[in-house]
Amino acid sequence: MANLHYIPNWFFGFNIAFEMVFMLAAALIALYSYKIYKISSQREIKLFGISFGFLSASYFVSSFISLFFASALEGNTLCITIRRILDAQNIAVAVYIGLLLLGYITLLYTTLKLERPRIYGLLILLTAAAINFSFNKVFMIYFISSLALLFVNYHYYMEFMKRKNTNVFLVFWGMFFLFVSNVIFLLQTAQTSTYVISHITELLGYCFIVASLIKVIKNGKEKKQT
Amino acid sequence: MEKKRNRLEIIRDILKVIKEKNGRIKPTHILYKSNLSHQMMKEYLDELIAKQFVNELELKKGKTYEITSKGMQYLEEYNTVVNFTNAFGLD
Repeated sequence: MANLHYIPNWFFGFNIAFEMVFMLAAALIALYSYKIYKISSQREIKLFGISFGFLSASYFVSSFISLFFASALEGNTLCITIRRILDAQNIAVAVYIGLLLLGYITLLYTTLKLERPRIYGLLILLTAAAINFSFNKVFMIYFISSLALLFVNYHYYMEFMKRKNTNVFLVFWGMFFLFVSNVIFLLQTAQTSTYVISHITELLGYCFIVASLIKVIKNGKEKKQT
Repeated sequence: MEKKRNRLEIIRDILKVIKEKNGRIKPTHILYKSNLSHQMMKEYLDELIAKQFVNELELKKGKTYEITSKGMQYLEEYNTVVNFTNAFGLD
């Protein structure tokens, strides 16, 4: 048995609101990517949209888990537990972890510009095996997502160095905050402050990414009018 | 020296050439106007047919390529597509 998250009592409710915001932000990115994919038929855009689709679904499941399965611990703390029995809670947690990791691995696969679907399959299988055989599954989940985001960050850093434009700059910082948020989860102890800080950092990340998306949409509308 | 064109720019250039010839063009004209090798042009045309941006027609005067409404939409929305791919590092 392991605890996936430690949530301070006072933050309960806020965490669900945060996750709903993340879900909407990721869904917006996924839907706009789909719109651009319909126009351009570019594979990378489709994969990018799918990765945020997975992330959006993972936030939805996460808020569902927080709402229905958070159990009380001592000292004004709630926790989400991973147990070894097959029940609704564990299925929901497994779905959440699966969607979260699929999201980050798809994003990694997209930004690495890999062409072969077999490599994608290999990344997923290696991730599943690493979590399954790990003694500390929670650590392994956030270790893998942090590692994937580290490579994604490197990609956006290189993109920013190449283009030096505001949109890439915003996406780079957005991805950086998502990375930091995952690292905070990776280092989490029974201290509940890490959960709060991680959520705030993730919110910052999505603010930057959505700001970049809004700039792209606005720019597109202006170009159409002229 | 001009920078190397990326994939999206090459697709735009091919579609633009077809559009400027009233929507229908022979492959030799595409080759001449789009500044690509024969092999590259063939690969791009195959991709454009698969993505339904152009149709291949077998006419009496030989093979001809015709731009589709999807191809026209790509040209109209090209700037939006490029802004998006640039912002999210997807080209």
